[in-house]
Amino acid sequence: MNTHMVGLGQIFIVIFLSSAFSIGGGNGTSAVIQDRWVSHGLLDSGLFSWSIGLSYLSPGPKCGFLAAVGYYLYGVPGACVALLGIMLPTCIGAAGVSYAFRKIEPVIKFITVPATYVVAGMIAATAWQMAAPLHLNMVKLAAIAVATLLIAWRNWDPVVVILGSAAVGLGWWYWQ
Amino acid sequence: MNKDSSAPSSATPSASSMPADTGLHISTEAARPSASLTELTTTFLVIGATSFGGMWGASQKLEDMLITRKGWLTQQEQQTLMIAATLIPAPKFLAFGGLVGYQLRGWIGSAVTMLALIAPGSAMVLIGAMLLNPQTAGAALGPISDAVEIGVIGVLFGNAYHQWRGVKVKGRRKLIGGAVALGVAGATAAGMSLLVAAALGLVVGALALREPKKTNGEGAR
Repeated sequence: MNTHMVGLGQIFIVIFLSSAFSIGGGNGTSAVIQDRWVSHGLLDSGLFSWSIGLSYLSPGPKCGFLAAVGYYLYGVPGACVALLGIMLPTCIGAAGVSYAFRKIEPVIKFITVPATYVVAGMIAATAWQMAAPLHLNMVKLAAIAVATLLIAWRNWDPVVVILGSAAVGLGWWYWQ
Repeated sequence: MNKDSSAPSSATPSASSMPADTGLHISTEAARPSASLTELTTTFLVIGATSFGGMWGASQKLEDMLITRKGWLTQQEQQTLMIAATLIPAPKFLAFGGLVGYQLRGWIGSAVTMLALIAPGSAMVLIGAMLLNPQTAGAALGPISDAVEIGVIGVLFGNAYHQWRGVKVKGRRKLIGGAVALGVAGATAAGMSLLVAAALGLVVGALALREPKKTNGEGAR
């Protein structure tokens, strides 16, 4: 662990600025961290991957991995500063978009129905983007189909599906 | 099981004020139930602690909590805020929380909502970072992470289906809507930027799905 090789101010500034590369849902923050800290040997690449892996197993926004990144760089204060660094620009952006949102409300009425379908397409696209790099075999495809059916047809709570998936993964690791 | 999550939007408090000819939810500040900071905090703590798969993966839960149970948003507002969240240079789910908080309680609401949303997951990640390390738990993490990712993909596809099914239009307009959704997903899968695909989908959809002049009772939720 390269504790204190990076100051709290730098943690805040790098993460604050990295949010600018997250527009449209891109994973820009990870790329900036990779470039600024991992590539320069200030953060171990294994710990960085571990941080992201932990966030996949945790609920809520995936940017929670920043807590681990901040922790590895500067302990608990680093984790707090890292979260502050991602929250502040988000807060400013939310206020700005909210202001514009009120101005364009008549337009919103016009696009309500297509927006619903566009959102459906965006959700499916996100699912596809996650699935594409996995090199899916028949077993994985079947697992995705089962999870999809449980959500779409049986209205299962997603938490149950995710926890069930984690249990299957744990069982698979134990069996191997 | 989350049976309520796909409940028709007519169950929402604002639904009774919807124009019958369009079905659009146009809420007013007066019609919207007030949200205290405590309620905002607890609601988003629950969402943050029980949602997987990011903003899109949580769309059903968000609908259940914010529209059906609390009545803080209409379906239209939630969908618009989800799209608006993608325009903010920040993580989408966090941005969505910030937008909802700002709509309901201004700056403080925005900050409180984001903090509540990110706190449970971050605390888990932080505890994981403090107690575990890749050497001790790395072997188990791989299969578990892969399985969770597969589960998240299923949740996303399921939510996409709910989103498509939820629109209260029929016949030709339903088919066109499905084509718009497939077009956005397909264009993104083919390499087009998600934002560009969504913008094109909105333009094409707005033109192709215009409200028929003499309809009665057909429209979006």
